Amino acid sequence: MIFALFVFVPVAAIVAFYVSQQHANALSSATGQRLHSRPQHHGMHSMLWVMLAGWGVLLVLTVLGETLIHRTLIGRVSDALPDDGPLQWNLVLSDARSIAQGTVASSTDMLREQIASSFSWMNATRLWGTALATIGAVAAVAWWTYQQITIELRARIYAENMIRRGLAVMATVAVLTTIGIVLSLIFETVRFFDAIDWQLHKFLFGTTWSPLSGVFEGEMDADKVGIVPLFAGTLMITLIAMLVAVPIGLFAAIYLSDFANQRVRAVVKPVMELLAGIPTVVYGFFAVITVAPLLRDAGKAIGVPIASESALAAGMVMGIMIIPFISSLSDDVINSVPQSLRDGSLSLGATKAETIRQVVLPAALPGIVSAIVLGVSKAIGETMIVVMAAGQGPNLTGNPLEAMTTVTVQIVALITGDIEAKTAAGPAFTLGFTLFVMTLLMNMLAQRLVARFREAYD
Amino acid sequence: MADLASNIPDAAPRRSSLAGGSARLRKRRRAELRLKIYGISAIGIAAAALITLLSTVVFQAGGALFSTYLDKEIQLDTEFLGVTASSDPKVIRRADFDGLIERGLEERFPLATGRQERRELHDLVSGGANFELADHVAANPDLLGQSINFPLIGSDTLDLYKQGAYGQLDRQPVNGLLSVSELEDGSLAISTSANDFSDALRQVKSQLYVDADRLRRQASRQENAIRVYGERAEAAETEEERSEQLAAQDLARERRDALIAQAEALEARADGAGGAEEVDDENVSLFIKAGGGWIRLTEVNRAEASGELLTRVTLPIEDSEAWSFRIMELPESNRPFSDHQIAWAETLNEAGLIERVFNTRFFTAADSRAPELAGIWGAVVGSFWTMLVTFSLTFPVGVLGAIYLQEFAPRNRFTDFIEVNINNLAAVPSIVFGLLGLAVFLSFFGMPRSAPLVGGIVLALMTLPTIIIASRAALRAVPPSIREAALGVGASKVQAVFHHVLPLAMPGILTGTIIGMAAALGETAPLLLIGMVAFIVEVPTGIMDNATVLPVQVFRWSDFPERAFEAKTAAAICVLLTFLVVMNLVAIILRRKFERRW
Amino acid sequence: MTDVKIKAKDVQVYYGDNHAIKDVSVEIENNTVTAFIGPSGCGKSTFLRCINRMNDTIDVCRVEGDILIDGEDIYDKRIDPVQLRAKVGMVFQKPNPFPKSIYDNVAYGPKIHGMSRNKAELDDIVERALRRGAIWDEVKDRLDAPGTGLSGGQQQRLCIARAIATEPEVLLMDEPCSALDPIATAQVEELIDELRQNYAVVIVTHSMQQAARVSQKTAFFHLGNLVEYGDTPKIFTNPEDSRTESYITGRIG
Repeated sequence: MIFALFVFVPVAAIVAFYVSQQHANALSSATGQRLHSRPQHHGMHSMLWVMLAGWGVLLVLTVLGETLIHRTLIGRVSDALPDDGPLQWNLVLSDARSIAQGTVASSTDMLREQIASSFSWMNATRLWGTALATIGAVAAVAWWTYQQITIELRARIYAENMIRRGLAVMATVAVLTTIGIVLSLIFETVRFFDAIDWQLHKFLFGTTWSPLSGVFEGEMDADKVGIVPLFAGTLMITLIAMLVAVPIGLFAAIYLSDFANQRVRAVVKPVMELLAGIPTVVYGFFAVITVAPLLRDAGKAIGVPIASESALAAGMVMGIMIIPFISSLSDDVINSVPQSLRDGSLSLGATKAETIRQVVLPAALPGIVSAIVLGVSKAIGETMIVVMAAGQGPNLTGNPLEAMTTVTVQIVALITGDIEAKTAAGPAFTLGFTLFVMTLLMNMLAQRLVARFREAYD
Repeated sequence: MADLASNIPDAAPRRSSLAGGSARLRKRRRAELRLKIYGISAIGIAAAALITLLSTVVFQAGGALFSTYLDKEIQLDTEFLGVTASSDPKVIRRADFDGLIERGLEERFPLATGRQERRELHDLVSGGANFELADHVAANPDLLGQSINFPLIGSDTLDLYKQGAYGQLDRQPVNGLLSVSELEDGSLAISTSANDFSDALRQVKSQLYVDADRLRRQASRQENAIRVYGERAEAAETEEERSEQLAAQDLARERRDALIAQAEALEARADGAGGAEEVDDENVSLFIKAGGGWIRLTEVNRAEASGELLTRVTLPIEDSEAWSFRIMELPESNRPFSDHQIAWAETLNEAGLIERVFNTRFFTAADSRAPELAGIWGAVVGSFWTMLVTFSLTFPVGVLGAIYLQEFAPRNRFTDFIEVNINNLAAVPSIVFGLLGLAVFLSFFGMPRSAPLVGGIVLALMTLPTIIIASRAALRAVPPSIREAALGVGASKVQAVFHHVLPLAMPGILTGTIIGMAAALGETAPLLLIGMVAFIVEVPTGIMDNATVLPVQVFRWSDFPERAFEAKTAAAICVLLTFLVVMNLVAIILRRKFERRW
Repeated sequence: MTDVKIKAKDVQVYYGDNHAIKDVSVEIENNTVTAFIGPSGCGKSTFLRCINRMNDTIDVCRVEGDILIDGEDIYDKRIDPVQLRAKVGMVFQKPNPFPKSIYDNVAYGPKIHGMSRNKAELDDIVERALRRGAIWDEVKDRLDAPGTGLSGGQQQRLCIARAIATEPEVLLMDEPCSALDPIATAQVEELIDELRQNYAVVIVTHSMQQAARVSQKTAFFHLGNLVEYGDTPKIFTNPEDSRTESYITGRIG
């Protein structure tokens, strides 16, 4: 039904377009006067209004209605089952929905039947109400714009202003997303810090991470929420990744931009793009299936025990993932160092290597540093490789051959774990907030560096 | 001119020769070569990593290409099933087809009587086979009472065994004549007229060295203990303590000597050419095929052995030439496919009842806990719905937003802020978008978990910056002369943009969109957080259904302990990569075809 | 007395399929400023870049024929372009100081060629080069300042000083004044005239007045051909070829 309404709106809008266009045409030929705006602008004017009103009403009523029904029914379920938690309530509600829709529910009882019948009539009311309101809004707005059509109506200007405003709204979606991220992260983070009485030093410098160990007592133990072990793991894996990615990516970029001929570039660039296009979950699989066993066997051969979920394996594979990132960004900046500088150096009798080391790289340095910073930020935020190939246990060690865990792994473990969502959300969102702030700072630093580079050479 | 030059002292024509490089020059050239080699090796390493990755995946995926079927005749016994052709199909479907299949197997192999053995026998066939049989019969109730040939899908371990994942059943050369007789306790006395078992005996004995090594390692630990106790005794302050430590030292010494003696005994046994050795489940498995059935050896000497029946064998056998001897190197305790199962599988195979066919199920079925039943189709459809939502949100919003920023936005603080914001949003880790989805769409708006709708919205927000940035670049590439020309003939700004600039920028925008969508298609982390990891056995039919997507399916399967899932994971990756490659190819073709130099 | 420094014979240059230089033969003398003139795209810059093999850096460029400097074929396989370029310096159209200090800009060449044993010697070389580049007085107090911070004319003289520092024997200049204002141009032209005393200077210019002012010999290029080569006064007053005359009088160009 909602979907039908969703499609109905543009259809109605197209009808409104033609009707208004015809009307404007007729008006013009009847009066013999020239319209201020062309007939299709009148049509467009009506069409835009109809779409705006129709979809607006539909969206607001759908979201409001769903939320209202959900809240009401959950309220009733929680009154009926005061001893159970939200997880159970949601289960009952989803069973009731299934019953109401005639599909298979996990179990049925009196309560579920009652809720189901309430849901049935509420949902029906909501659907019909939404339909009536949407159609009503569409009709009203169509009539209103139809009425407005006169010789003088500046329909084109109105329509174009609407389009401009619509475009501006679209441009702010990204901002809204950021605001959404920040608000949702901060909300839970503040709650989490409340739970540990704002002992931030214990969070930042504590060496034990086991935030859920006290959940059954309903307490968050401030001594067990230290993120140092997670940071140690994150930094260790990032370091290994960068040790792999920076030299390989940088040398590849240097070779591609200053030594390789067109043919080599035509082959190598797609290879790098391919590496960049491989989903991280595939890299994770690669780490688990190939790299980790390989390292373990190699370790065994030389008598060094390497854990099967070692930071080394995860870091190496993450490094491979970041190679194309570093190489393409560095390639860009190395290529934008003006040829005239290279010519100047070569004309003095410098070799290509000397030119690169002493002229090109110093000039490109801000750009390269920014590429590395972005690479680090990507490594810190990378999730799947470490979830699959690094450890789960917060292990504070300096040995990359052991299992270590990372901030992202812990977020996934907390949210997808068995612990009730409300309890796990605090530490998980706090970690997410930490991650967000770190990557944001790095990205801003990288952008500033690139801007400096661009200023010098563009 | 010449006299002008002569006025200047250092103006005498200088002539240096170019031929013959100095040592310094050679050094500089070597430095250049080094840099070049670093570059080539860097590219080589990257390419090698890519090739290793892809070949690992493709190689592993091979195992999922075929599945094993047991094509055994099945008697649809109406009495056993308790249904007839006129029963309601629903009732038929609920009849005990599982029992029917098991009964059929037990009739074929009557020696399987113990609980453990019967379970192993049943495990040859997948737990999903009975449902398929039930569906087939329910659809054709006339078959009831008849005997039909219906291919039953084999279990994952049977499939792995057929693939040779546990190693091969090696056939050994035999020269002698075999005699087998049953003893009173039910065990078999086996002998050959030649020393046909000596190679096998050597292999069995090699395990003794391993055991001896283990004992020696234990002994060296005791050695260490002896030293420590000695040191402690020396450092002891009281006599009492000292004697205590010395006593402990003596004990350790005794233990060490005992261990070394055991190890030496084992090694002596291993070195000897003969001597009967027991074959346990941590050693190789030895099979004899004779008298129409299979025997497993429990003790072996060069020409004699003891054994037990795996399948029915006509006894006694006397001086028979018709026999073969086989070794399975992987010990029984290290493989989930027992010696019994090997014998049954080989028997069925020789009867032509086992076949391997192309695994179409993988491409048509949804997820399952049983690897042999699991398919990728559910995830493909889930990905489709999710991408549909993502595309229909991110494309219009991204392109229209980009048009505003590039063409209409006034240069002020707010638009600068939007720009910075978009750039930063592009670098936010994807997992943070998962948290956003969790907090806003699931908790606040109460949208359904695991639904493509929420997954699609989250991915759309994640892809948005990519599309805006790509679209802006494409719009920027359209030269201002086009806009001026349109404005010059009296078009409004909106008309100029939508009639002229946007169509010219479209190929670039589409390329960027496809690349963004490809990234979204491969994204996993945020979807984990909004519950798209759930185990979903139904193919989703809309954006509100529970669903999973391809990369999440890959993640789930890679996490399952069954070994057969490795191949499924790799095959799922191949499917995912195929989609990504196709998308990227389309992007490349678009770029090539519409690339315009102004 | 004619002292031939560079001798080119039947030089052909191809950019991919494009035949950019056709059969150019020319003899360039020592202690002389030789100007290459001609309409844009005539190949004068391309030919100039052949003399120190800067065209090597372009993948699709192919050079045939002989170019001899002091009798040595510079396209011989045994010749290392790196060594060649130390002997044949070049100054470009747009001043291109490295993003380093003024001192480091000039010291760069001597350093890579190992021309000094210690800092004092290097300081000496740098000072001499800057003096010869006629810029010493302007920059002697701020040798640590970045070279990119100088004015356009100063940058170009810095680039000339940089080229001189490696003690080349030939100095190639590719429209060295085209990015400069008239005053800076005058300063650079004055400098070129002084440099003639020590080097064979080859200058590509699009300005005929400049060619007339600074050069003793002039070569006129047209569509990849060397149309006419001779003493500057003669070319400008009494050209033999009608194409030269048309160009001089402004009918083509």
